[in-house]
Amino acid sequence: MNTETMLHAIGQIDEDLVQDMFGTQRKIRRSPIRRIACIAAVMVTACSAVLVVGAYSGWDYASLFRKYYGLDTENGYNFSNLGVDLNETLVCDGMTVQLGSMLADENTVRFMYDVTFENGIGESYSCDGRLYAVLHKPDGTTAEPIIIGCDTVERTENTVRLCTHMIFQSEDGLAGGTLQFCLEEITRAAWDENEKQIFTVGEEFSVDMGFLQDVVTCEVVPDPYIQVKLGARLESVKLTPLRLQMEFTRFNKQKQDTEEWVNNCYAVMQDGTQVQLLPFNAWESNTNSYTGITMLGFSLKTPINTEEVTALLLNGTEVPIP
Amino acid sequence: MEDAEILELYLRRDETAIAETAAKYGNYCFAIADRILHSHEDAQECVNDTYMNAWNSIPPHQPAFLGGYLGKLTRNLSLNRWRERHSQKRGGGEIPLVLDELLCTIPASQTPETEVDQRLLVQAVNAFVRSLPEAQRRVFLKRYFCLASIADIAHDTGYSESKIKSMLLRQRNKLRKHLEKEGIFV
Repeated sequence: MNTETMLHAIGQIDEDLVQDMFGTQRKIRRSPIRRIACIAAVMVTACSAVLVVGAYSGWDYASLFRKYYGLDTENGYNFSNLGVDLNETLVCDGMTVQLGSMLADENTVRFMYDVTFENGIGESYSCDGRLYAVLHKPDGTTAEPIIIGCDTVERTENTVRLCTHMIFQSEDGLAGGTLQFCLEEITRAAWDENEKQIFTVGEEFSVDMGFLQDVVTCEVVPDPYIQVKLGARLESVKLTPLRLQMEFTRFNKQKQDTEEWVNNCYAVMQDGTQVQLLPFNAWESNTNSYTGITMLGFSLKTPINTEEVTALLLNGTEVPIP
Repeated sequence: MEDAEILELYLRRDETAIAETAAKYGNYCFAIADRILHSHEDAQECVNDTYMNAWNSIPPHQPAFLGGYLGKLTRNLSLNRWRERHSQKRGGGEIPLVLDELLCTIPASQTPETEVDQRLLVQAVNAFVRSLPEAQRRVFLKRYFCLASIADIAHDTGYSESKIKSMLLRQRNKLRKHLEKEGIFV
């Protein structure tokens, strides 16, 4: 097969798809009058929402992420090199979106934003922000996240606050790059599937990840290999403020209980305390194989101060961090 | 005139079918041909060939979507004409760019000698295009069916050019993965 074959194949697609392309096209941009009317309508809604949720203007990533992801204020960790506030407002049909703050580390991004619906949240039980992202790396290449997940962190009568999580591969470092993303649509789900609503956003943004500086990453390649339980040998482990990633070799041809691993990881801090690394968006490679190299990783629900971590306890096995 | 009425004219062998087709779909067919050929004269000839092909093929063929059928005819005729004109050397326009872009949608070969089954490939591409959300599908087809330039797509859709590029990059990667999943290799 060559590109001509592919071009020819695309030319043979069903006729309804071709017709549909021409029959329904419309521009995203709206007329100025409609836009102004939308802004006015949404301003009223947004103002009332401010009173309920607070913090719509002057987003502050440090306090936001502390509030929703339990950053330990006593910990005293300074996240100033991990976050940025976007403070952008998008007015769309039926809703307004406030792009708030972003928290990131070497391979992980959390992006928090508010969606205020003109007609309220109503009977819907969940909302989901659908976006796509492309990382433009300093060397000119691009990368996409391997996992994107969306979390509802707070909701009021009219407004829902969402946090989208993105995880990139280890080799796709965010520092120094530009993250281009597009919030495509917000889905408002209802108990009755027929009442599910999709609101189109379709706006694109770029965030210079230059704010990520001196992120402390703990990376250990145990030597000699640490024999861990359940027939898996730990090859390497990497801890960043927002993520833990482990690499194993399985050798006993038995399927591993990943969940047990994921829920049994602790960081040993300088003062000797043990802090559980609460998992979020866990992922595993090579899931269908009972032998060979397996990558196992998850986002940390509560970010960790990697500067103060002296060791990791992985399912009962201690891995010192040099 | 509604498509069904135009189709009825074709089926009755009434030559006004062509005039009605030109009135309704002439500009649309011309736009497709002109994007591929970048020549007003060639594009107009291709559009006329499209009418002739439609006249010769209906009946027995009775397309359910006349606009889509004419669009496919125009595209294929225009591509054939483009190949004839550029058989020695690839010229300008969008086709070389599109061909370069499509290179990354082709999964790596496991058995290099295997010739892909064109019918299976079309089915897989069809399923992929159907799986795309409406806005993304429109962008994909404008680029790879109509061979529209990035600037034209941005103008038509209201999206920025960089967004169109990102969207297409993502779609090409998804298409490659989709073909791999379907077991379609070189």
